[in-house]
Amino acid sequence: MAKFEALLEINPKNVQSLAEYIAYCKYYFKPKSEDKIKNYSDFYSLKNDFPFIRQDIRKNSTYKSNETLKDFPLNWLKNEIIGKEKKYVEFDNKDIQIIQKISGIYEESQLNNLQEYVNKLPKYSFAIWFKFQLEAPYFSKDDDEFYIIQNPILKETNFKVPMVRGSGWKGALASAFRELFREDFQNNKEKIESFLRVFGAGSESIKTIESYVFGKSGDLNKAKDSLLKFMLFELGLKIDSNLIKEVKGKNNKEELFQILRDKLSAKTSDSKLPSEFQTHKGRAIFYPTYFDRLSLEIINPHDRRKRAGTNPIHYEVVPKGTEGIFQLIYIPFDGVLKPDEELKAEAEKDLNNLSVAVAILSKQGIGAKIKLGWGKFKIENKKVFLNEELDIPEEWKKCQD
Amino acid sequence: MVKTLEVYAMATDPIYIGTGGYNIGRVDNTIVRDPITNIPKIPGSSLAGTWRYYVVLEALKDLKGKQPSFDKIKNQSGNTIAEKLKNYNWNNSQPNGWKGFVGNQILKISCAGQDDAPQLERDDENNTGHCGHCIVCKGFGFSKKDISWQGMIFFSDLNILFFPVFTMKGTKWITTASILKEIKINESLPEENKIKTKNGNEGHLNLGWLYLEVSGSHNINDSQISNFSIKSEDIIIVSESLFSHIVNSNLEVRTSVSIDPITGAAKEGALFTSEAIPRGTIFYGSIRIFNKEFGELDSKIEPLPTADDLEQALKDSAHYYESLGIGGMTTRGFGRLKIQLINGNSQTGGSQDEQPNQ
Repeated sequence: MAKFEALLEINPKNVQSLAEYIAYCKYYFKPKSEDKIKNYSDFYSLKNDFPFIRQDIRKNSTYKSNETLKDFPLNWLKNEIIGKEKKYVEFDNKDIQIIQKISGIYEESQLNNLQEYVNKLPKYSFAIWFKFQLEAPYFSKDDDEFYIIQNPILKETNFKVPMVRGSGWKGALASAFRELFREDFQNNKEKIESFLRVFGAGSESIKTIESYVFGKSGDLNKAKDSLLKFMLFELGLKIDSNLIKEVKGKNNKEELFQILRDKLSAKTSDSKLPSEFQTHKGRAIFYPTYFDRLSLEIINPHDRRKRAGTNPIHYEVVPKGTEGIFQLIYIPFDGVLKPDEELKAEAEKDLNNLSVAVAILSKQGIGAKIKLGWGKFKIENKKVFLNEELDIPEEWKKCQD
Repeated sequence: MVKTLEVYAMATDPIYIGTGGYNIGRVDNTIVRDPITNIPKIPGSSLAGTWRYYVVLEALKDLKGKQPSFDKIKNQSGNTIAEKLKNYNWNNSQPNGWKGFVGNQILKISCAGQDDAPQLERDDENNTGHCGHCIVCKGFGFSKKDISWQGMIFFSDLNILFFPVFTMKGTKWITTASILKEIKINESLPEENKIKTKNGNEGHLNLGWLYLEVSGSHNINDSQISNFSIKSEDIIIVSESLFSHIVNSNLEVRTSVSIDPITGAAKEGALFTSEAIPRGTIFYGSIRIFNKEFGELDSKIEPLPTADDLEQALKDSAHYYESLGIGGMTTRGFGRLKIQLINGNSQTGGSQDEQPNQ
């Protein structure tokens, strides 16, 4: 018992900091017994097991009879920490500010610094910044297994702040971006190229195609398969069986290039693979987002026959209404080889496509359980930071405005 | 003769520098560690490689459009390319400072990264690799068939100085007495398996899953650590033997899976785990610039950039670490680093505390 003395300092009636909340959720995971609270013979033995209790709650109707010890800590969290009225815990902004500062995310009041940073980058770099408000809960599962709730939300490893990872944003935005050309890809070749520029390429299939095109491997069939795989799995194109037959029927490199020219790329000339289709790093750099509120959601699967709830499943979520900051920096680091006009045109297209993709993403949602409508958000205060003149999408504002 | 720059860096994202190949560990993709202490680090070679690229990027930002064609250089007077470069004038558009270094006329993107034509002579017309003339090639070194040159900038590994761990009292940064000595702070060791905090009265504190007794207080004050954006009350000194354990058990371990865009579900066989140095870790290391002014230098290699020029080049390009980062997976929330360069003492002789390890 002495070892856990420090835990006594947590006052669950008044959990304010993230550290206290996490400590509660992590260290009161046990015991997993089916015993009931009312079976405790005296208050002291109860307090021995749950040191955070201040008063004898055996007489309190909320906990008296029906709680098994297994559920008790969770109910305590629901009733006493999250509370019945507010339905969420809000953390001190200080925790969030520290981690945002460490991550290089700029607050609304510091946006001049972001502009200064963009000015230092190569020509036609830009940053996209917006504030958003969740219109539905956000959930993404954390790896932490020892936790009071079955489904803890993803938190930063050493700061334990709920977050969306940069990789999460990148994946979600890439999938929203694909919507732009998924259906009618033959007329949207430029968007496919833009997609590859922004997100990069470098999968197995691209590498196989590359090694065939550059003459390192002579395996045409493998290259054909890879091309199909690339179209299907990476670009997510809607391909019909005719196209598959067409690709399969090609007999040499030139004919394979014909497909690339006709279907995917506006840039392909004779037999040179455009840089977009070669292995490269993407130009967009994604920042994480941190949130300052936590809440609980319950999904209760129903018994099909009895039509009644079975075992409720708890999710720790970021509740709707919480605000977060999205930040992305686009650096055309490969642009030093290109003339400025071409680079400008590319950056303009990429910026426009990104802004459309962001709008799609806000409707699709981020995180897990988006089919239940979770993860949707409303974008507010959209800003673009440029270091050279670019046409910016409607509704977006430059930093200076 | 040797100018020392101290490097301090804070990880603004988890940093993943993989070992590649197969390593036995608890994750699939392991990161680089010091073989003796088993503590993760950023190898000097990774730092040198990325910095070389960022200096090129920073230079080309201003040089783009101002560089003459190779034919124009050839038509200049002089017997060798080096002389021709020296005689070329920039049409009144010579960039300032290190960007205007003689030889930068032919600086190109391929001066960064590995040389793809080391078998050719430096002034060969087909030389697509390192040019051997610009500030990058001379500063970071190059090797051609006819001439090789060791770089003038020496990078040390970046080692962990303060490592963030989540505790009941919020996030704290751990360190040890011997690490603190490296940044000239003298603190005594805590007792075995105990820790020291600023207040020293917490009783017990959990560092990740380890629950340790606080044995006393340390005397670090905010001014001693003003180079880092952390406060002295957030620093905890642990014993040397525990440090590696705590670091290794609080690395960011991720389980990732690839999503099939057609089914929207996880792909089969695409689940993997990886580890990374967590966000908020503070590193230290040093860069030494060896100003090779011997007087009797091979005329082929002249002129050499000055140590000040190289220092400025490093400083001007360090901001790329804040976006393009270091290591793997940098476009998806990994690898960003905020680097700070501080002038150390110029060493003109005598003994050096640190041995060059590159």
